[in-house]
Amino acid sequence: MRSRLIAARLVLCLFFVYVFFLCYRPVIFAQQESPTAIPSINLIASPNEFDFEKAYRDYVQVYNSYVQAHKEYLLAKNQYEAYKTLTAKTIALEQTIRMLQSRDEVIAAFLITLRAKLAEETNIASSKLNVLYLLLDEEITWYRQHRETLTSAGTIPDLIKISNLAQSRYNRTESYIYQSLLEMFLYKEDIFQDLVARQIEVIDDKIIEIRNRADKDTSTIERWLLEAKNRKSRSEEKFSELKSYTITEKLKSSEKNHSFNGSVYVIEQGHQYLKETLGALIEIVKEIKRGD
Amino acid sequence: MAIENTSDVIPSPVIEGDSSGKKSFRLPDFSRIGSFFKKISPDKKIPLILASVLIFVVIILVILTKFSKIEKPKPLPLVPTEIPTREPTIASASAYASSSAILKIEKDLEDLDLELKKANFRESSLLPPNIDLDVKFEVTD
Repeated sequence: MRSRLIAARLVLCLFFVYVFFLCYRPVIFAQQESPTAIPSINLIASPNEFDFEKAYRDYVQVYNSYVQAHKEYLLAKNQYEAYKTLTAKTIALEQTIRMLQSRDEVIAAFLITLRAKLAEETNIASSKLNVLYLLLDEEITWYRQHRETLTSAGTIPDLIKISNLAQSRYNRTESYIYQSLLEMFLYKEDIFQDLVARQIEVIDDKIIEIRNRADKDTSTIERWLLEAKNRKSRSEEKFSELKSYTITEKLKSSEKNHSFNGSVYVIEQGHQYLKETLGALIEIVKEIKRGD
Repeated sequence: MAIENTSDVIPSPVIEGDSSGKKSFRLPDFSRIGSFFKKISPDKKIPLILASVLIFVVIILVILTKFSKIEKPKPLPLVPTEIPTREPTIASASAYASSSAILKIEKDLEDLDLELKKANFRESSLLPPNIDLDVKFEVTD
């Protein structure tokens, strides 16, 4: 009977210890060098170590952590503004640091993802792209360093000052993001333009061959080819319009988002003409296959 | 007072024979109905009148509904009409229909067409993240 009582007490004690460890959360102090609660996967690896898929997965994970941290920051901020107690203030400081660190990680993770995509899609070593790689790397380094400085803030005004540095820096970062995206899209479109131009040449040669053999009437397909070439010219016009657009300057302005969307719209228009060109070429081939 | 036999109170048509042997029809004596009501006790009169009125109203309503039924126009039966279709014309193939060079061009074009259709310039995964850059506190130290 006595041994049963001791066993029951032991089980109860173990249960309480288990519950305690379940509920325990380490307190993160602002002065602490590296808070353990914040994941820092993207800040350990160098940008070159990632392929796009992995980089994107990590970015999504970091972004989700940021969303959670931001919610907690808003809650702590509201409580501090409402009650103005010392406890609320300390919690607000801690949660703000956590959110800002998470924010820096999101930006760095996004830049790494973009860099990986740029490398994967373009796969060339043009001077323009090399410049972009350098700019993106510089930004990644800046946000890593900025994340570390956040822990040195002892008060909320200090923290806001450090946060404002990132705010003004992000203006520049965003412009590099848009530049990188546009360069990537233009590069892709350049490849498509070349491929379509090559197909036009092949079909042109084939039509000349058929005309010389005189075993099929080529008047219709020649007219269609002319139409296809016209559409291709329109597509080229769109791209030359975009290249002479001084995109880089516009992307540095305050209306960079608007400018980026406008440029993407022009690319899409050019791409549409390219698709129409290809549609016409497919029809020409079908007509060649058809008897008179 | 209970009514024991209805023949006592309800007048029935009387058929009588005359001197020539012909039978003549005589209407019932309705004046006896009044005496029938007089015979019913006053506490049973009201429910009887009410029941009669109710039955009368129901009968009138049934008659009215039967005669006032509006006939709905019946939908015309759907007769499948034949849609004129063009006779499939068997296009004659040219000498190039089975040419390997033409088939290769066709295949290349189709592949390229797929690539062009896949191209997306508004990939949401590559757009800048939505983050809160404006950190402000209404209460400061």
